[in-house]
This record gives sequence, C-alpha cells and structure tokens, in this order.
Amino acid sequence: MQSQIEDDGMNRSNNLDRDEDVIALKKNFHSSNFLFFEYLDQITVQISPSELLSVSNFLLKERNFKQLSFLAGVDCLELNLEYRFKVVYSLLDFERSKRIRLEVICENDLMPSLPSVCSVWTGANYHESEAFDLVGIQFEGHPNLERIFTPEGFEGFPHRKDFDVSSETVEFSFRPTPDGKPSAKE
Amino acid sequence: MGLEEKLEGSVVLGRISDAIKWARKNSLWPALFGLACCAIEMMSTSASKYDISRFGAEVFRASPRQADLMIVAGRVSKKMAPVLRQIYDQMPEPKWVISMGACASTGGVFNNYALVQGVDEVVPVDIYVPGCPPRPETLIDGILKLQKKIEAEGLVKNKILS
Amino acid sequence: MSAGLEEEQNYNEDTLGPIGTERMTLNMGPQHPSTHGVLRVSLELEGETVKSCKPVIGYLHTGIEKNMEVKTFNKALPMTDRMDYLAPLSNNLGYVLTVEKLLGIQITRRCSYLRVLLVELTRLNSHLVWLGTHALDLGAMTVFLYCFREREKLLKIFEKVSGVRMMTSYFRVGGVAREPYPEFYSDCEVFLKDFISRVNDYEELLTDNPIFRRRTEGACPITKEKAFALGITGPILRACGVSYDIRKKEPYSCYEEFNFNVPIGKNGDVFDRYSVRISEMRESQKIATQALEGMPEGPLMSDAPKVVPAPKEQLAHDMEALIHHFKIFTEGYDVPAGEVYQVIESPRGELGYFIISDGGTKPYKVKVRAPSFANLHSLSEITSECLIGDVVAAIGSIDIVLGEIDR
Repeated sequence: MQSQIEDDGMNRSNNLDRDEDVIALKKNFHSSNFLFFEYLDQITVQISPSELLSVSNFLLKERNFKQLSFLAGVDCLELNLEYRFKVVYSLLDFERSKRIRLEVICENDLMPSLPSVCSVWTGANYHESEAFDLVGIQFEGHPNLERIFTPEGFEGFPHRKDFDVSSETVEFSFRPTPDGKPSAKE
Repeated sequence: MGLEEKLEGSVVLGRISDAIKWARKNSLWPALFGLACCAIEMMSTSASKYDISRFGAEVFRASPRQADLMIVAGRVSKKMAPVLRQIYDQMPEPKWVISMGACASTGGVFNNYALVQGVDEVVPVDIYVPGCPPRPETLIDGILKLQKKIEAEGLVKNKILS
Repeated sequence: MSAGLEEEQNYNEDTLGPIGTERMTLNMGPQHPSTHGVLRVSLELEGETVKSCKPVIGYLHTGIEKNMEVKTFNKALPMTDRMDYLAPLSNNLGYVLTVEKLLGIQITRRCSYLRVLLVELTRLNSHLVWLGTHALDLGAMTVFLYCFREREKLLKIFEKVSGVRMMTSYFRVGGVAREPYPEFYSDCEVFLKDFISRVNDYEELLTDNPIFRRRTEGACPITKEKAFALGITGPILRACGVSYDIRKKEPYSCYEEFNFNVPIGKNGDVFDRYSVRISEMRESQKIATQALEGMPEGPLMSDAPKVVPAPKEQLAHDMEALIHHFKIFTEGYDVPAGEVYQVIESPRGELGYFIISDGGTKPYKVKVRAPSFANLHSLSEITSECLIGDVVAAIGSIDIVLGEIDR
C-alpha cells in the first residue's frame, strides 16, 4: 500500500532519512517503535496511544508544529488490517510551511479510546467531538465529549462501515412481464 | 384598479372574499427560513435584479409571528426538522409553504441517514419549486402560481388536519 | 446622568435591599436574521455583557462524506459543490487536485491557468456575499444590493461556462468539463476591468463611515498565539499579522507564476478582517487579470486515456477510446491505493481533502478539512466580555458557511 520503511537502521537514500523532524523524533524517542511512511512527499508517523501525548507535546514545543489542521477517525474494516480503528492527525508548522501526519492505532476494536490532545492544541475540541459522533472513538480528558452533528437520541455511528448510507431502499425494479409490458416488482 | 374608469364616481362593487384574497395574495411576506445553498438564490431573488418585492414580498420578516409565507430553502436535516415544525406552528393563519429546491421537495441528491426526504413529511406544502438550486425566475414563478392558488381557494382554508 | 441614577440606586438599596443579578441564557437561532445559515448560539449574559458564548452546530448535517464513499470518483464530484456553497469551484478544485495527486497525472498549463482564473472569480463571488451580508447585519443595506449586482454578472459568466449558476461542478479529474465558450475571455476582461471601481465604491461607503468604524474597530480581537492553537486559518489569521497564504507557501496549480501580495492586518479585530478581505478582492482581480492575459496555448485536458474521456468525435472511429469512455462512465477508473492530504486556499482559509483509496473505483474514506469548522472555535474566544451587538459583528467577520461546517 504505502512505501513502508521501518526504522531498522538500514541506509536508504530518500527523503525520510534526511527529514529533520523524522531524525529528531528518532533521536528523542529512540526506545519507542515508531513506523515512518512516506507517500507522495507526505510523511506519516505511526505511534501507539500511550505515546500520543508525549509525541504531541514534543512536536509542539520542540519542533514548532503549532497548529493541528484536522483529526479524522478512520474505520479500516474493509482494508483487511489487524486493527479496525485509527485516528489520523495532521500538523502544520507555519514558519517552515511543513506538514506531518500522525497515525494512532486504537487498541480496542469494540470500544476504541485515545487520550485527548485538547491540552496540547485547544482547537482539537470540535474535531474530537466529530470523531466521537461519527466514528465512535472516545477521547479521555476531553472537556465536553458529546454528539455535535447527529440529532439527540441518534443510535449508532454513521461513518462506520457497517452503518448503511441510505435512509430509504429503492422499492421498485421494473422487469418486463411475458407479454412485454414492464411491471413493478419488489 | 381599472374598474374606476368604467364606473362613475369612485365606488367599486365586488365580493368581499375577492377583496380579501386580492389583499392576501399581493402581500405575501416570507419568513426567513434559508437553510443552505437555496438561501443564497433566495437572497439573489430579493436583490435588485430579480426583485421579489415587485410581487408583494416586500419584507423578509425574521419573526414568524409576522409572516404568512414560509419558503423552506435548503436541505432539512433530521436535527432541524423539529425546529422547522415549531416555526411553522408559530406562524398565524393563513399561512402557506413553498418548498424550494430539490432537497426540500424530495431529499435531492442526498438519499441518506441524515436528511428528511422531503419537507412535506413535516409541514404541509403548497408549491414545490424544482432545481438545485432553482433559478430566481423559477422561484418567482412558484410565487406567482401560489398567488393563483390563493385566488382559487376558499377564504377559510381546509387545514384542520394539518 | 450620574446624579439621578445615584439617587435611584440609593432608593433601591435602602428600601428593597441590594439588587442581585443573575445570568440570563439567551438563545440565538437556529433561525435568525443574520443569514449565515443554521447556526445556534447559546449566550450567557450579565446585563448586556456576554459572559460565555457556545455555538451549537449540526442543523445542516448531510452526511456528504459518507455519501461520497458509495459513489465513484467522478460521481462524487458534484457533492463537493454543496459543502461551501458560496465558493463551489474552490471545493471542486481541492477534490480534483487530491484525486489527481493520487493518480499521478499531470495537468496541462492551460488548464491550470483556466482553473486559477475561475477560482479567483469564485473568490470574488464569495467575498461579495460576505461583504453584502456582513454590512447588512451592521445596518448598511445599500452595500448588500450593490454586491449582489456584481454577483449577478459573475453568475452569468459561470452559467455560460458550465451550465449552472451556482453548483458548477466544472472541474474534472484531468482537466475541466468542456472548453469554455468563445466569448468567455472577453466577458471576463470586461468584468475585471470594471471591478476595481466597484471595490472603490464599497470602500467609500464603509471604510471611513464613522458608524461602521465605531462598530468594528477594536471589537472582538484575537491574538496570533490563540489563533494558532485554535486551528484558525485564512483571512482571520492574516488579520492578526501572520502572513500565511497557501497560494504562496504551498503553491498548487501554477500559482507560483503569478505576482500578488498577501494583505495582513495588525490588531486582529473586526475592522482588520474587513480590510484584509477587501484587499484580497483587489489582489484576486490582479491574479485573474494576469491569468487572462498570460493564458498559454496548448491542450486543455491531460493525456490519461483511462481517466479523461476522449472527445465525442473521436469515439466514432477509435475503438479503444470508446471502450475507455464506457468504462469511465459505468465502472469508473481505479485509483492506486494510498492516502493523501491536499490543501488549497479557499476564501475562508485552509480547505483540505484527505482521501484514502483502497485501489478501487470508489474512495474508501473522504475527510474534508473545512476552514469554517476550525474558524468557528474562535467565536467563543473573541466574544468573551463583549456586548450583544458585537456578537453579530463577530459572526459576520469570521465568515462561516454552515454547509461546510456541518457537511
């Protein structure tokens, strides 16, 4: 799928090894097992939920990624991976015009839950509520996690893959009867 | 009215119901209910090129208690439907509803979990105006058809069951 | 004033005891006259001072992103128009650039210039609506009528180019839907030549108007640091003094070849946001004029037979083109698996599309990073300790479109 380059110390001449943020992350978190991907000149770092807050604080304070552009909950049910839910964070550094993505795999498939980054970037508030409302991912430490889009009393999480899109099924399908005229048939 | 030229003096004879219907249809004041993209076309209709106040819709009243026409312009989500019904109930009789655009009439391009598939599931609709979004001329045509409808129907409307 | 009031207060305190005050919760919307859409704002007031302001959204939630997952890449394009309905061509551009990046196809230079021209006209369109409605909220109705008059001219051009006034869906993956009509370039030139004098008219009505200045200068400011943390981008951030415009810093679609300035403000208040957007209108007119004058010759659609349908005349004698045409419109084309995030500068800020493809003909996941969704965070921040009248000015100045907030 993506050109997956693991941190196994081999010398590969590409953008990933020369990138300053990747080098800084590897140096500062040398005991952790991060996966670094690069696809179409965009760098993604896959981390585990327990390291999310420390990596976020590091990227904000040491690497100057002052803005969280978005965070999206993804349901990977149909992608045949070992996990079901992941959350993608996109960060922006204004001074270098640099973007980086963090990918956090949720450990529990039935009740996915992650620590909230509202303490790091205050703008994560609505984005996390959206991920909760639409995909069903809980964020611990969020000031007021509630449904923002769907109406009160809505059951289910619409953007999960097992939630059907349509509100009405199409009722008729016309097939010609033996005498050649169309008829409505369920 | 041209009748004055045909009669001597300044007396006009007619039925009172015709006079009331004439007053009602020529001064339909819409309540502001612009929801989405159709609202922008509704604003264009009220701007200077396709001036809607030529047809009597002089002011868009923000308060539903002072309006008699509700133009539902835009897609109605399931969260908004109770609000729509509440605004409709706050309008005094006689009142009419124009459903503007494909999303308000039938759900439009969006056949999914979040939208009410046609606003007539929530309020009784008099005129459906098609389009995505409808041109201002289409909306004006809808209002003119509503005026003809008002002229044709009775004074006390059969809306007991709505 | 002071003597009479003191007497009254003394009277009340002596005879009735101290007056307690309590906070009142006032609900604004979702149906209210500042026609910014179905936004509900829950205000807590002490007297006329706003103590807390909580926006409630979700009244226009349409599930567009979920709906796009069940359609092929081409069929999902018209759904993007309906998100930010004031600048539909911007949304189209963001989507189309993301899919083209996933596919890895190159766009011709003429197509890029045409896209830039139309997107800048759309930016003018969006800013005109903002100016008209913002001024209408603050009491200036003439500006509303003037702005919509200019807008009608623009909508006429869009209608002749794409067939629809607003929801154009004119851009396609690999190019545009069709060649623009022959008089398109002269129509644009006539419009753009007149436009600067119109902007001068609007400025004459508003910029030095003492009522407008009193209502907007110093009202609802926000600092740079808070804006960064809240995720705010676009004219609001530029009004705080940060010169970040994606067209300059992360250019796309040949923007690096155009010569324009990025206007910034100083204090980050309502008046600065107004000045930044007015200056942006002038800069957009400059960019559009440069795109028009420098329009290169050459092919319009890119060379990717499996993605770009061949012209109709070719289908009569080329079997392969016919097969590709059939496949594109029935099954769709396969997009290589991967995930990508592409940003553009929409009139409201950073509009981003995050698309995950699993190798099939339909997108696996589409996430739209809507600028107004993040900009709305600023509302509770900037309206603390201000008066009720300032809330209306604040909502107008942050320029939100509920279609893209609620998607």
